[in-house]
Amino acid sequence: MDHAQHDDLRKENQSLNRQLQEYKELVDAIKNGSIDALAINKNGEPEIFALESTDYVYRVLVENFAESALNVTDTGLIVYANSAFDRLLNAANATLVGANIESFLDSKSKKAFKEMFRASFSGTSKGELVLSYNGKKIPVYVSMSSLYPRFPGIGIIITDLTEKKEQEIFTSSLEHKISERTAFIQQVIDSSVEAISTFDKDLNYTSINKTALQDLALSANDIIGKNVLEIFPHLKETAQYQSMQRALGGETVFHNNIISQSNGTVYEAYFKPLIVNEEITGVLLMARDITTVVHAKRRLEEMNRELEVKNTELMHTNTELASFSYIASHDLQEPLRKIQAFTGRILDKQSDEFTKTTKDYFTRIIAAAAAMQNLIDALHAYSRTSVLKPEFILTDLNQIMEDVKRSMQEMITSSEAVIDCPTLPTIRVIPLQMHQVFSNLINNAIKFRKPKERPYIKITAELISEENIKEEVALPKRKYWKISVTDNGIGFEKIYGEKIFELFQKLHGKDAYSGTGIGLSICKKIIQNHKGLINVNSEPGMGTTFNIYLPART
Amino acid sequence: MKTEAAVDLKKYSFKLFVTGMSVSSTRAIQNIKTICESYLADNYSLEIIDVHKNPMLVQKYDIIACPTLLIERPEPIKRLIGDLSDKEKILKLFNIKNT
Repeated sequence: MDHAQHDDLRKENQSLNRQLQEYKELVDAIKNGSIDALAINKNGEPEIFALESTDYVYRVLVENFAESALNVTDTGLIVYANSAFDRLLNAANATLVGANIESFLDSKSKKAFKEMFRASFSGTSKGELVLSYNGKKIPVYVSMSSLYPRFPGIGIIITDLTEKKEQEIFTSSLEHKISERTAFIQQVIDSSVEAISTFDKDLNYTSINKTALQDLALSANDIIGKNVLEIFPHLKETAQYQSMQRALGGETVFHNNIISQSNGTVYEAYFKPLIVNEEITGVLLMARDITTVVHAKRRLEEMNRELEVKNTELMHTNTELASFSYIASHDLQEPLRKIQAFTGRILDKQSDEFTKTTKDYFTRIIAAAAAMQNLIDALHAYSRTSVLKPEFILTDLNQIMEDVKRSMQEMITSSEAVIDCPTLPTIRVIPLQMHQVFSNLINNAIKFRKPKERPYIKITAELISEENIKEEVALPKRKYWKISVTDNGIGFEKIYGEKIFELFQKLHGKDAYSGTGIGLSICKKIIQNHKGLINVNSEPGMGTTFNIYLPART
Repeated sequence: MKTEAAVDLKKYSFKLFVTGMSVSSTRAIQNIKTICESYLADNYSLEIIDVHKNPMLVQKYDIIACPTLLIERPEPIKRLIGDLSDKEKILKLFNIKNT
């Protein structure tokens, strides 16, 4: 190689090295950040690019915007997206930049987007769209502005409407609920049997329910908004109108007897203040038609009065009757005794002088007098049971039964009657009266025996609870002694079961069986005095059973 | 963000460093997208990185100016500065013939 050539190459190499060194230093300087700007030759014109750029401020602003800001090309390619857009789609910025904005649109929004996008080329366009990313739909408000001619693209600002939409949905569902609730309440109010209406502070109707409209025979349109005096001028001087005024003053007023002028319907009504936020805003009127109740009450009162009068009359009559029978039976004794005494004497001393017929008549007179004596005695006994108030004594019924048997010894022996009696209880009774009951029943049993049969009387006693008694008793929820007297006598038809306890009732002819027809009435009266019951079971030819129920000791 | 492992699966792997607000960066994004979609089909991964948002990456990948396309694969690593408007030159770098 030529020496001079070699020298040139060496020089050139050194110069290149120098240049390289310079460039390296430039690059290092740029990288170190020790230069402020780069001078660039553009189309022969020098252009200065500040490295610490003035757009820094805007960049920070845009980057930290709450709204999403994008730069896209005219084909929709995203070349810049701020961090708000990353957050909106919940995606990494590097996956968004370089993608087409159309790929983030919900299929239903694509058409609208294209129209907006096209429109933005000649200015600005705005509208609501729906984005879709990873299956999530995001309602947004989009605003597009053309950046031409300085920048080949479109600037897009996207506002997230999710919260707003949710708020709208919430509000509309709230409205729906409120209207449902209102309809429900209206239905309840309309279904009320009470007539309900409301008034404002000037007593203009603000609402009225169906019941009230039916009562007034008016439609809501006739009433709502009108003053109460316009509808019912006659109210002006009434207590009701005053009550409305008092309700406006905060009082609750009750009327129990408002009578409608038009049809005489009777109402009871409340006038109440309507209070909203501690302020009286009007009056609530609730009225109830009580016509039928009032009428029924009136009728009931009338009936009660009538009943009272009748009761008093009845009590009076009863007392009179009782004292009458007592006095009558007592006073009848005396003349009868005289008749008996004198007929007895005549028969004793002069019967020998009598013709056969006279003797027969006389015998009949004496028998009739004896019968009358019996009747008076029985009547006297009966009236005594209701007039006198003897004392209840704890008594052994066995003892009473023994007394009865002793006093009837003759009758029992002559009829050859058998009395089968178990041990009877000891209870509180009026001993004399119980003696009468037992003797009456046994007397009946023997009296109404079958002609050619020996009388057999069976007495039983058992303790039962009140529920087992078919008829109503005076003392519920008590134990009762059921004492039954059963005979094998002639019996009687069931239909007479009640009748035989009535005064002077006799089922059989006077000739066949002796008696006054008072005995069982006395028994019934006595058992009633003891707060008990007496009833009978019988069948013709099958015997009779009398059942006595007496309260047991508690 | 895509993981490194996922990126490694593709034959072509690029990182484009831009400032999204500038005209050159916008062109660079448009151009590389066109080339990738036209010639590389699904066989590439492309990350577009805004240098303002990722200053640490600027240092890591030794970037001086924007836009810069960093070609990580096919190797060796190469850098292209500018708006990537010379399509022929880029295809040559990728060993792809323009048909």
